[in-house]
Amino acid sequence: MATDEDGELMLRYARGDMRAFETLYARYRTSLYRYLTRHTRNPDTANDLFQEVWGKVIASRERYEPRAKFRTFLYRIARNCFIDHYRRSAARERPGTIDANAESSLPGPDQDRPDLRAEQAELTASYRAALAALPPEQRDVFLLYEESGLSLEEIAIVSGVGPETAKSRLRYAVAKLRSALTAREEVPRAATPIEEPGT
Amino acid sequence: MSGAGHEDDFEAYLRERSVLPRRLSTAQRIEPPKDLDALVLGKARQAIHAGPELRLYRAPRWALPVALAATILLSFSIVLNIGLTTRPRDQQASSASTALAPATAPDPAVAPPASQALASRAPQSKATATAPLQTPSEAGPAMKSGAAATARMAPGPSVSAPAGAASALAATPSAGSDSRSAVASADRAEQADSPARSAPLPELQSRAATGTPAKQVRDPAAWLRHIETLRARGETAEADAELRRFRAAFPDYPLSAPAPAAHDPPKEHRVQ
Repeated sequence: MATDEDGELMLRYARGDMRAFETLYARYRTSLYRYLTRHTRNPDTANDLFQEVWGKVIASRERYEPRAKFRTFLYRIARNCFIDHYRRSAARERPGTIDANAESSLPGPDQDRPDLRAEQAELTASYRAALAALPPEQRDVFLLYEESGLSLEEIAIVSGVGPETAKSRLRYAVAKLRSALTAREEVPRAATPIEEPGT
Repeated sequence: MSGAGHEDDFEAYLRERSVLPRRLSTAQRIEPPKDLDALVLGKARQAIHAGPELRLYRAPRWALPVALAATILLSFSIVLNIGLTTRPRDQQASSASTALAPATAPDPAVAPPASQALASRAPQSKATATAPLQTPSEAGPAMKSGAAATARMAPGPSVSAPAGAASALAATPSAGSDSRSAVASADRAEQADSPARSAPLPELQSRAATGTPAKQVRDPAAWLRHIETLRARGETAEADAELRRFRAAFPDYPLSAPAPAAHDPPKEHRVQ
């Protein structure tokens, strides 16, 4: 999916091919939006940053050179936008203020089953709390890997660190999240409609 | 959980790429709102229809380091050039000032501290040392002959100065390079040595014979006295020759009345 074809699409868009941009946007809209939503934990802020990121991609079409993968180019912009937002909002409000209704209000499948919705809400709350408790560097690496589908090498490029550092951060993040979710899973619950594989 | 278990767990995560239970991860598909899609796509379309942006000139990558290196080199060369050109001028100026300083410093009329130093060293000669300055016959010609005569005027006050004062003046730093100051100090020394006025005669004769520039700085009063001395000795031919040279050098210098009258010089040598 993330191949040099993305760079070619960007070049075609720079030459005026709107369909190339539509293809590019369709490829990355969801993963980018999830990355930003998980980071900001606020849909309004995520929407603003989402627009800002794509606006910068559009503005840089004339200067774009496919020296690196388009995916790393895109997520580097997204990461910088989030860091800028983090710095801007640090003065006036606590960054990453959790919107309690943010993820429950997001559209998703299987929301017509009340029992599943309740379990999802519990899991979402646990996951969100564990994610918020992660150090920012580990959270960033985890979101780039989990939500955006970047490889460790691409994460290293986007984050500006070595691949081993990125892998180490990811290992710690996954261990902490698994620990938090396992603790929640051990709480006795009512029968779940969907069997967890391997349990 | 052991370390190996953690490692296996992490490797499994790297393969599955999901830390959440499958049911939750499928349920948490977060999608951007449709109006946000329309907004971004509309912006992208608008950017294309607006045409290409005005591309500013972008210099090649090597331009910045080359420009920096050129600027540094140019600045260094300018500073170096300025340093090389100003240093010889400073040296010339300093050498000129040191050369001029001895010529002007001993002049008691120009530099009062010198006369004060003389006065402090030889208070008994103060009156005689300053008296010639106040006589119009001494000051007048100096004013007429202009700036070149200031050096000639310098020995004037020291004509009647004692030998100690003259030696003090002669001992002032003269840098040894300016022949005018050297000759002036020599003149002062010879004039100060009043009991032996015939002593500077060989020197004056040699100067007259060679025609060196040192002749130009002779003291007219001392010259006249020398001529008078020659006449007193009976060397009238040489005295006449000296008087001609004197008149050539100082055409406007008034001859003192007693000197020509006493020795009865030829008419052609009188003041014209």
